[in-house]
Amino acid sequence: MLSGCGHWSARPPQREKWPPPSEGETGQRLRGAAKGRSGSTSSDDASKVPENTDPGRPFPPVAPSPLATIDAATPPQVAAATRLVHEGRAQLADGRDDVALETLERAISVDPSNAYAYYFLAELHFRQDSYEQAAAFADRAALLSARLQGTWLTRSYALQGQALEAAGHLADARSAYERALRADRRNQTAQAGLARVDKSLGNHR
Amino acid sequence: MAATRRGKRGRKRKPAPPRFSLRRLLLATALIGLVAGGCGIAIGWLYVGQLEAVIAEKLSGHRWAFPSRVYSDGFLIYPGLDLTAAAVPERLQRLGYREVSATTLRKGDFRRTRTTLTLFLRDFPYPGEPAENHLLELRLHDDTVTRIEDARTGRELFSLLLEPELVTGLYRNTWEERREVSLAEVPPRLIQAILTTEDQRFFSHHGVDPIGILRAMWVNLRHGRIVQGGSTLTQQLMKNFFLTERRTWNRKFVEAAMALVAERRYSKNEILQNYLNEIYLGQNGLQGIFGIWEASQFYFARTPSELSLAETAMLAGLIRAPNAYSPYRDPKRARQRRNTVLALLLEAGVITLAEHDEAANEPLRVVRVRGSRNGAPYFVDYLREELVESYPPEVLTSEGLRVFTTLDMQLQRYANAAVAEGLAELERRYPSLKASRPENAVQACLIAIQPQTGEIKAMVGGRDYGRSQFNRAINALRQPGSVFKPFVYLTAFEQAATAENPVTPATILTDEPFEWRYDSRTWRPANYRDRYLGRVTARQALELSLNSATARLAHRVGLDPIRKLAHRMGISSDLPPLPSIVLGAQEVSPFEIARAYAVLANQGLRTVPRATRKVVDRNGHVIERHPVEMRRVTSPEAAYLVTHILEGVLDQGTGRAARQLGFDRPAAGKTGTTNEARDAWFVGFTPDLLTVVWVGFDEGKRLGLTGSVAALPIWARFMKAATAGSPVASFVTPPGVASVRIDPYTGGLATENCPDVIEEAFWKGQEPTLPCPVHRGRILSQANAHAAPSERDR
Repeated sequence: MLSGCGHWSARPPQREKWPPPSEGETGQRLRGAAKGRSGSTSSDDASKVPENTDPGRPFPPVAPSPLATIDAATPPQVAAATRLVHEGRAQLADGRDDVALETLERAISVDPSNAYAYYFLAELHFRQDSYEQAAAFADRAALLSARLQGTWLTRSYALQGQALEAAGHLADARSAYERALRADRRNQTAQAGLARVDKSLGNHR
Repeated sequence: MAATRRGKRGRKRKPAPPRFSLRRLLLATALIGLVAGGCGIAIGWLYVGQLEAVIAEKLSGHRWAFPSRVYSDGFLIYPGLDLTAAAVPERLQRLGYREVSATTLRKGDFRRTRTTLTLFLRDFPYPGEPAENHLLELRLHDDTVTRIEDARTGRELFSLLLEPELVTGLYRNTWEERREVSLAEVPPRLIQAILTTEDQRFFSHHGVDPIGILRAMWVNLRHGRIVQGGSTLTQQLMKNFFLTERRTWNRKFVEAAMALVAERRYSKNEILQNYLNEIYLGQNGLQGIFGIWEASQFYFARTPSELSLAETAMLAGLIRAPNAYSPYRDPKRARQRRNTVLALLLEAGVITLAEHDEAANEPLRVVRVRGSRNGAPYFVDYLREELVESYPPEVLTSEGLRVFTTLDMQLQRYANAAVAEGLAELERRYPSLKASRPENAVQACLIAIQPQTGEIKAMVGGRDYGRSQFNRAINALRQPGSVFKPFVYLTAFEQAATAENPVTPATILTDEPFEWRYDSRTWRPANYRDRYLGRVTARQALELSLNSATARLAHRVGLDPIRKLAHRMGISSDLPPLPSIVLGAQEVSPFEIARAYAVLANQGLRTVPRATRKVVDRNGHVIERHPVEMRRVTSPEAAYLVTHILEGVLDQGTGRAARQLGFDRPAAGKTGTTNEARDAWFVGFTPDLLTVVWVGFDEGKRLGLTGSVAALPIWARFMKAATAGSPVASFVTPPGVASVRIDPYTGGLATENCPDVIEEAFWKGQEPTLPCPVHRGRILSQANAHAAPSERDR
C-alpha cells in the first residue's frame, strides 16, 4: 500500500579506505583488492579448497570440526564459541555462507581468541574469492593456533599461503607455506603450494 | 424618458403599475431555484469530489511513513555465564519480558526460582530464519547457568541468542512506530470486541448510523454513563485522519459527509482494515501509539494474535479515551473499562459467562513502559551518517528498514552513567571546573570497541545530547598528547626485527634535556615539571611517559616511519613532519585513537570500526551486510611488546590509579595530558574491549588536570561494569616473542641478587644474554619469575 519514495536502490557504501601500503612494511604487503590468481599451472580445484594435510587420504570438503577439543576444563566462553564454530562449519559445508558468516562472527564476539573461528572465517572468505581477507583471518588463526593441539597451526599457515598466492603475493605466500611446513612437513597443501610458487617466482626472475 | 399618456382632459397621467403575474413569479422562482440548485449541486459535487480525492489519497496512497528501526546487537547466553554479572535480568526487562509465577508461560514470560530460569522466547523475525517457539529452561547454580534445555523435549542446547533491543526509529519529526496488519492477521475476537464496543452495526450502515446513535444513547442511559459511542468506525477513521480536536457541529457534519463518501468508495473490509491500523491508542512521551499492532506491542509486548481475552478487551476499551483509560495513568479505571467491555461482549453473546468471569478476574498486567527516549543518541547519529552514504534520507525515515547494529545497550548504559557520574564527581572535587553556563561546561566523550571485530559497543559524544549534539567521540579534533607516544615505541620495535642495533623494551635510553634541530629550527621537549631520570629503560620511559626519552627515541627511529606507521594504524588526520607530533601535538579524534590502539589489542591487525551489522528491508531481505574486515599493519611481535609495556602503565605507571579504583583485570593503557593540560585522555584495553575517554572544554580552556585524574576514573568506572560479566582473559603471546626475567633497571638477565625482577618480552633472538651488571650473582632460571627473592632458585 505504501508507495514510499518510488524506486530506490542502495548505493554501494563508501567503506573505510585502507591507506596505500608502502614498501618495507613488516608483515604482508597487501596491495589493494587484486584478486588475480597466481600464474601457476595448478588446477582450479587446488586453488579453491585447501587440501588435506594428511598424506594419502582423500580430502574432506572442510577442515574437521573442533568440537572434540571441548572437555570439562574448557572455559565456558571458549566452549560456547567452539560450539558456534561447529555450527558455522556445518553451515559452510551446506553452502549457507551468509548464515555461516554470522555464526562464526558471533563466535569471535564471544571468544575473541578462538583460533577455530578465525580459521573457518578464512575458509569462508577464500570460497568467496575474498583472498586478502582470507589471508588476514588465516594469519590470526595461525597466531592463535600455536597453543593448540593437532594440525591447526599447519592448516592455518597453508590456508594463508593459498590466499596470498591467489591474491598474487607470491613472496608472502612462500613464507606462509614454509611456516606451514615447519609446523608439519607432511602438509601436502604447503608442499604443493611451495612448489608452485617457487616455479612462478623462478619464471619471473 | 417614458412617454406619458395624456388623459381626456389633456393632463399627464401616471404610468399604471405592472400587473401582478403569478406565472412570472413562479417562473422567476423556478429559475432562481434552478440556478441555485445547479450551483448547489455543482458546489456539492465539487465538495464531494474534493472529499473523495482527499480520502482516496489517505486510504489508497502514501499514508504513513514507516520509520527504519535501529536494533542493538543480540546477546548470547551459554552455560558458564553469570546471569547477574552479565545483567541478563536488566536485558530481559528492557526487552519487555515479564516475570510471572504461573506454571504456564506465554510467549514473552519468564519464571525464576533459585535453581532455574524458565523463559519463553518471543519470535524475533530474524531474516532468513524460521520463527520458532522456544520454551527454554536454564538450570542455575548461584546465578551461573549450568545447563540450557528445551523445556518441552528436554533436548540440551548449548546457547541461546536473546533478541536485539529496539534502540530507536529513524524518525523525521515524531516517532510513529507503526506496522500495518491485514485483516487476516487480526484475531476475530479482537475485531468483535472493537465492533461490539464501538460500532455494532458496522456491516449494516452506510457510514452514518442513526439507529446506532439511538442504541448508544439507550445503552449509556442504562449504564448511567457513557459506555458506547454513537460515531461509526468510519466516522472515527475520518476524524483520526483529518480533523482537529475542536468539537464543533460543523466538524461533525464534515465527519459524517466524509464517512458517507468513504463508504461509497471503499468496501467494509478496506475501511475496517484502515481503522485497525490507524486508530489512536495512546501516547508514550512524544510517541503516538497508532494501530492495534503497535498498541499490542506497547502495552503487552505481544502481537495481536497473542493477546488474551482480557488484554483484547482492554485494547478495545482504550479506543474511547486512550489516555483516560491508560493502564499506566489510572490502572483502576483501566480495569473498570476493560470489564465494561467484557460485559458488553457477554451481553452480545460473543463470549461465554465462564470466559467473562475468568477474564474479568485477571489482574491487569502490562509491560513496563519502555521510554521513547533514545538511550544512544550519539551512536544513532553516527549510524545515520554511515547509512546515509548508501540510502537516501527519505528511505531511511519511511521505508521500514531494520538496521541491526553492533551496539550493546547494557554497555551503553554503563557508558552513559560513567560519563555523567565521572564529570559530576570531577566538578565536586574541583569546583573551579563548574561553568556558569551549561553550554560552557566541561565535556567528555567515550567510545568502546571490540578490537577483534571493530564492533562499536558503546558511544557517548558529550555530557548532554539535548544541549549539544556535537559528537566529540567522532568529530572532536584534540591534541592526544602522550597518548601518541606508543606509536614511537611501536615503530622502534618494528624496526628492531631487522635492525643491527635493535631497540628492545630493555634498551637503555637517556632521559635528559634534548634538542631536535630541523629546518633551521630547534625543538626542545621538556619533561613534566622539568624532572629527568637520566638512564631509563624503554619500558620505564613509556610507563612513566617521559617526554625527553621518547623524543630521543623518535629522533633515532625517524619521523617519517613514525608518521607512516600511525597512518597505517588508523590515524587519518594530517601528521605534518614536525618533531612535536611524537608528543601528540597534532590534533586527532578519539575515534582515530580507538581505531589505532585496537591494532595493538588485535595482534597487529587493523579492523574497520563499524556500527552496522546488516540492513534488512520490510520484506525481510538482507540488503546490506557489514562483515568483519581486517588487515595486518604491523607485526604481532612489535604490537605485543608495546602492549606488554602498556600493561605496566596500569600496574605501576601513570595509569596505576585504575587498580586503586578497583579495576583488576589484565589490561593495557596509556594516559594522555597535553600542554597546559587542555586535554585529558585515557586509552585502555583488555584483550576483548578497548575504550577511549577524553575530557576537556570545547573552547580549549585550560582543564588543569591530567589524564589519570580526569579521564582514567571514567574509564575505570565504565570498564569495571562492562567487563564484570566476561571471563578474565590475558593477552596472547605471539610465537615470535620470548619472555625473559630481567632486572628492570639495568635490563640485564636477572640474578639471585637483583632486588626486583620482571618478565620482559623480546623478539626471539634479541633477549639479553648478559647478566645484570649491577647485582652480580647466579643468573636466575627462567621459571618462577614472580617469586619473592627468598623463594627463588639458589
